[in-house]
This record gives sequence, C-alpha cells and structure tokens, in this order.
Amino acid sequence: MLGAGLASLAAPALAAAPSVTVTADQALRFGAFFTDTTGTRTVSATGSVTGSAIVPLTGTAPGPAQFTFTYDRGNNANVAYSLLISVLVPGTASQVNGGVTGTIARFDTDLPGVSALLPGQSAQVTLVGCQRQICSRTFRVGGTLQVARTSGGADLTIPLPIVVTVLAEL
Amino acid sequence: MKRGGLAFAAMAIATPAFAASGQSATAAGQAQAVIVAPIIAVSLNDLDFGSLTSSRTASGSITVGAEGGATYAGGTTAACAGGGACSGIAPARFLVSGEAGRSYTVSAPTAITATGTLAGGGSAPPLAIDALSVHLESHAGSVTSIGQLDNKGEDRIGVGGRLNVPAGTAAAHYRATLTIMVTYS
Repeated sequence: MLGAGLASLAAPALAAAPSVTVTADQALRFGAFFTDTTGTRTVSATGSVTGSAIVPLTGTAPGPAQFTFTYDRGNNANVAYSLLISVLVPGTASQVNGGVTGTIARFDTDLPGVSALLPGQSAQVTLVGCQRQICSRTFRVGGTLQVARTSGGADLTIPLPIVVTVLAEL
Repeated sequence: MKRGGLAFAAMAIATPAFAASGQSATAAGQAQAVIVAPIIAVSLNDLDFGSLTSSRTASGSITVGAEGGATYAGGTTAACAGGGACSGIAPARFLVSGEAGRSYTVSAPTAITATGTLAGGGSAPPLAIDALSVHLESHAGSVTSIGQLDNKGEDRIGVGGRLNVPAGTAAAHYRATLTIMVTYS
C-alpha cells in the first residue's frame, strides 16, 4: 500500500522545470515615407498610424510588431493561475544609415495595464486566466519612429529585442 | 500508512507555487522603415519657340512638340531658313531625380502667358501659350502624367506647347515661366 502510494506520487516531483519563451512573430513596420529633414511616424499597438512632417508613400503596409510569450509551468496540474511578468525593451532602438537616422524612443503595447514602454524601463503585467501547463499570450508592440534626414533615403532595420521575465506565478 | 501517503500528496501539489520566478526569455524583434529620398526636378533647358515672323493680317502659331520638332500655322513663319536664330527651338526638358524604381506624378499647367519687351523698349501685349504637353521618357510613346524612375533614380520630362501670335504682333522678346511639380505617387 505504501509502496504503491509512493510510486503514484513520485510523478509530479519529476516534472520539468518551468520555462519561458518569447518569439518575434512580426516586425514593427513603419512603411515607406518621405521626410524633408525631420519627421515622425507612429504605429500604435492597435494598428493606427499617424505622422508628422512626413509624406506617406506606397509600400509595405504599416503595422505593429507581434510577439508571443509562452510559459511552460513544467507540470500538468490543472489549477488556475496568473503570471506576473515584466516586459523590457533593453535600450534605445536606433539606426544610422547614410544620411538618415531613425530612433524609436517610445513604444506602446496592448498588454493589459501597460500604456507605454520606455527603453530601459521594465513594465510589469499580470496575465490572468492561465489554466494548463502551457500559458501563452500574443501581444503587439507599436512605436514612434523619429527620423532625421540630411541626405538621400535609407532602408532602416532597427533591432527591437524584447525581454520577458516571469516574476511570479500567482 | 495511509496518513503518510496523504502527506506526500500534499507536498506534490504545492510544488508549482515555487516554480515560476526568474525565468526570462528574449525575442529578437525588429522595426522596419523605408525612408525615401526626396524627388526633385531640375530644368535642363527652356521651352524655346525660336525666332519667328508674324503676319500683319493673319494670326498664327508655332507648336513645339514635347519630344521635339516645330510646326508653324497661319501667319506665323520661321525667321530663318534653318539654323541660325531658329536652331534654339526645343521643348523644355527637366531631369527628375529620386528613389530608383518609384513612380511619380508630374503636374504641369495647360496654358501660360508670355510677357514681352518690345524691340524698341516698353512692354508688348502678352501672348498666350497653350496646349502644353508633357512627355515622360519613362513612358515613351504614351501620354501620361505618371512616370517611373529608372534604376539610377532618374527620368526625363519634355514639355512642349503652342505659342499663339495674333496678327500684327510687333517685334518683341517674350518670356514666360513654366513651373512643373513632381511628387511620388
């Protein structure tokens, strides 16, 4: 009896350690536009597009970046839980290409409770409604691109790393 | 024995509560944008109707094609038999520069007015220039206001027109301003 009980209880203790992955599903796309010297274009997390001192041109349609966060709690316990996570854009996202400088100084996201993401500052988010071993959320990130142009044009590809840390399972 | 079993079970269920913190992951996303070089048009040469004569009794005109060539009508004739003062007859030409491969739209007036200075001094009555036509090198042989920049980011525009000369027009030198506008489309 005791031997049988130990065997059945041993399984959860051997469960894998929790793990977190984040994938970049889609780039933040500002599209094609012209600016004389300086201009900005904002693509929000919801997909709205605004601009200042730019002329939008045909090309790739603007749209927010999309990321998918996946948490594997490491066991199959069917218990509802929430996750407290932090989301961080590590540093200023910028690129200089010829006579064009592009800088993204501010981001926004559709993660609940987070209106803005500032480079270097983490934002905490509580993800509710997790139930199974795998808890996954897809979220979008928008931003404001500031462009300074002294000559010519450029294709800008600016790295946009996103760091997600699980602070607690609640 | 049963009590011992229950104790083990309680510990196993509690395990997930300690499992989460500190796990971190990074996604290498990116942001993309295409900043397009400005499009500009530079005048290479003027629309030149050359030197011509007018009739005292019959109105006339000279038409310069957007791709070159001139035709006279009515009481207007060339002031020379070729070469000399007539050699300057030419459509206006503009060089358009911008981002390679992009299409653009050119806007040009359909008519303008030339102001004149009499040979002896003083103002001459203005002359009408109409039927202005645009030829885009990137659309050779077709009439369109939409061009495309080549792989060097260039295109050339020709503009022709018709200068209308009323009967009895006095000898004068005429000049007009022809402004075109190019924009990405």
